[in-house]
Order: sequence, then structure tokens, then C-alpha cells
Amino acid sequence: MSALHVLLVDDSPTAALFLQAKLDSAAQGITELAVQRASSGEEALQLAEKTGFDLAILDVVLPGVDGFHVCKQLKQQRSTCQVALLTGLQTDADKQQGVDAGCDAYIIKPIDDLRLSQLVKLAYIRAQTVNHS
Amino acid sequence: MSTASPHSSELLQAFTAELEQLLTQCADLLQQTWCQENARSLFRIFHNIKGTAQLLEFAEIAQAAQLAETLARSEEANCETELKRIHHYLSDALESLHNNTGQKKAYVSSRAEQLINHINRKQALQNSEQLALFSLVGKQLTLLCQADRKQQYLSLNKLSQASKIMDIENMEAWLNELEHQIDTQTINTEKLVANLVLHPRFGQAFQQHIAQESV
Repeated sequence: MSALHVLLVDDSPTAALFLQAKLDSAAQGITELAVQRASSGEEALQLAEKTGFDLAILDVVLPGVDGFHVCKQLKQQRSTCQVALLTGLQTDADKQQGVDAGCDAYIIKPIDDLRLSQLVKLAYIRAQTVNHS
Repeated sequence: MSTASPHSSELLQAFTAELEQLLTQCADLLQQTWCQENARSLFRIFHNIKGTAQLLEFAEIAQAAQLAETLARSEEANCETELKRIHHYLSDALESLHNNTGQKKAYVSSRAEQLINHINRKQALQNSEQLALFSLVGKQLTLLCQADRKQQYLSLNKLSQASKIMDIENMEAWLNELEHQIDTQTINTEKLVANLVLHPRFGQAFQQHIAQESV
């Protein structure tokens, strides 16, 4: 099985660094990861045009287009991509926006290791299913 | 120590550098004339600071940033002073991170507490003043139909004064409509209530309090 292609979108370099380290840790024993990072929605969508991502973890509040928009676009381009919105926005209206955007998970920061591990596993299983079909 | 630990030096360095950059952007925005676009940019900046401070377990920084985020999200011009105060505190916190001295950290923590208490007290006061207005509106609307013209003008005056003191925006048109109804003795409380609940910020609060007063 080739590496799981992961897209991390966060305009905070510190948060992206932290999240990548956590992801690497969560994926140990499950699969290799090929992680690409974007610091804006536009950059994320450009990367997604070239790479078929299996898992995308998106911040919502981004400069330019927000994470909701990116989520919608990613799901339209590749419905098998697991998209998780990782955000500090907690209102019901925000969560509804996430659901309307088609996200597979709406996670309030900070994400815990178990949840991250579950995301990686689900994406891995889905990617295996797609590859074998 | 792995990068996944909130206390790893690599993360601390990244956070310090990022905080410095964000606070510089913040300072530039706070020097400009207040506008919605700047308020939205400030919201994004403080939202970012909050998120990364939470990751690295800087509780006071995260709390101050959350307050600022909420204030900026409201987009009100009168939040500017509080945002500048929070920016000043965060700049102190940044200096503390650079210097990494225990005493400075304690000083910054206690200042944060004072700052947050001050802002919370001010907001609580503002909230209770606004609640008083909603209650007053509810009561006066109930009395309007039964009162004589002189009493009705007194009610109008009370409501006008209260909305100015409590800094409730977008009330002028409603007050003008009320005055017109009193002038022409065509009091229509249903119409008045219907217009109030359309208030962009306090519509729901008005609806709730008016309903309570009519029970």
C-alpha cells in the first residue's frame, strides 16, 4: 500500500508544525504518510488539483477563502477524500456550516491523539477500499 | 523532546516568531481608522493567536486572545480601546517569551488576570444596562395603549434617552415611528414590536423581553 496522501491546511505555521508531528505519531504502525501543507484555501485547492488526497485536515478561519469553501471543493473533486474541519469555532451555526460543506468530521480544537488516530485509520481503510475496487 | 509536545523548543521558537509577526500586523491595523474589514482581519489574527496558544498550553495568552477575538468579531468601534489594551498585554507576554524569566512570567500572568477581569466587568455592566433597556421597552409598550398623550410622549422620551445612554444602535427609525404614532394617535404596538425584533443585533433579546413583560 502506498503512502496515505494527507493535506494539512492552516495559516499558522506553529499549528501546522504541531499538527504534522501529531499526525506522524498517530500514523505510526498504521501507514506511511505523504503530507503536504498549505497556508491558505487557494493554495490548498491548487495542491488538490495535482494530488488526490486521501485525508484533508482543514482549519476553518483562513485568509481568503475559508475552510468551509475548501471542504466543499475537495469533496466535489474527490468524494473519497476524508475531510476533517479542525477549528476553534464552536457555535451551532458554525457546525451546521461544516455539515452543509460536507465534512466527514467537525473537530473543536485541540484535537486529541485518539481522534487523530481514528481519522488516519478511517482514511487508510477508505483508501484501501478505493484502491482495491 | 518531540515536536508533538507543547513544550518542545522548536514549537516554542515557531510560536514566538509567529506571535511577533501577528502582533506587528495587529499594531498596524489598530493604528488605522476602525472599519469592518480591519475588524475581520483582527478577528483572524486573534483567532490564530488563541489557537496556537492553546496548543502550547499558554492559558493566559489564549484567554486574552479569545476575549479579543470575541470583541473583534462584534466589529463594534467601541471595542478598539479594549483591543489595544489586549494587544499591549500580548506584547508583554511576547517579551516574556523572549526573555524567558520566571519573574516576568508571573507579572504577565497577574496583569492578564487584571485585564480580563476589567473587560469582563465592563461587558457585564454593558449587558445589564442593555437588559434594562429591553425591559423598559417591554414595559413602555404595554403602557402606551392605556396612557394619555402626555404619558406617551414621556415614554418616548424615556426610551430615546435610554437607547442613547446604553449605546444601542439602529434605534432612530423605530423611535421616529413611535413619535409619528403618538402624534397621529395611531398607536400600533404590533407594528412597533415587529420592527424591534428585526433589530440586527438585539432582535431576539427584544422579542424575549417583550414577551416576558406581556405575560
